[in-house]
Amino acid sequence: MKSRKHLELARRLTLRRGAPNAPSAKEVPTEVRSNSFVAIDPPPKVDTTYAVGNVVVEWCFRVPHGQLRTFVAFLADNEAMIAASCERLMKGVHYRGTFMITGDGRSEFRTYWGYDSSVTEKQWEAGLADPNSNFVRAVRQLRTYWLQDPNASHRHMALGALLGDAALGPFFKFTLNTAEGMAGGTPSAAARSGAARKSGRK
Amino acid sequence: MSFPTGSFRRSRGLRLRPLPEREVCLVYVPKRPNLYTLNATAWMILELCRGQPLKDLQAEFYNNIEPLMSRQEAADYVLACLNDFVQKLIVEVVPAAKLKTTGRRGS
Repeated sequence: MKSRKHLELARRLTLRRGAPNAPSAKEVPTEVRSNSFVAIDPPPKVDTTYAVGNVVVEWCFRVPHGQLRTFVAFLADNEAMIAASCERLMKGVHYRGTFMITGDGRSEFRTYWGYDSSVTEKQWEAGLADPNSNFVRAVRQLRTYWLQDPNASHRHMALGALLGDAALGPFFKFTLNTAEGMAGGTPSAAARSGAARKSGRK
Repeated sequence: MSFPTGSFRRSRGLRLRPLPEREVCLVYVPKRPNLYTLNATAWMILELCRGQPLKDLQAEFYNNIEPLMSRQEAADYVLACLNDFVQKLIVEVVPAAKLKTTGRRGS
């Protein structure tokens, strides 16, 4: 029974990385002086390159019918440049395209920006540094379309698989712990160990 | 090294200590006292070693990780891992004849 549980656990950990890593069995160097302390490297970060971004920002806006053709032409002329400029000027900021929502006939568009982490949003300070650059002019124009719609929205999304991960910052982990507390569950092991460190207990 | 015949099971006295938060499993080998860190893939292969011949092990490993690798890639992983395990005394090869007399019980 225990063996089956271990197999299931090993399988789950293997598959969470996508294609399995090559098997490895590394000898652990131990020293008598180290009081049996065994140093084990933390696991590498989870590869989320399959996702639009670890953090995604969505601009949702409608374009008046009279401006639709101009807007589409603007996208065709500028999207590739915006995307390439993001990669060149900023680290961890990616333009993922502007999409038209079909079905309700109201010319609604959604623009997606992907970020590697919460802190990479600060990269915009570098990206917008030159107000006369082609990139800033194009983003300003795109944002103008967004501003013209009084019902436009700007939504912030985080990759669900990373809610407990440091990449998204402490707020999401805090939210998880709070939800767990509300549900009457026990605080997570991480929260417990953090509390123990604070109180000086071992 | 190749294993045309025989089956694989964990060495006697092996001690396992899973550390899921680090995605590894610590293995203590008492025969030649040593401690090893297995990554998740190696750990899974070790958990599968319950006295089966190589072909069965390779098939079981593939069934656990498909469709992420081809059958051949999975078989290569298992063979490389078993070579390493045998050298480090983490698993032992049981000759086919012995298995028939002692049954197919893993340790």
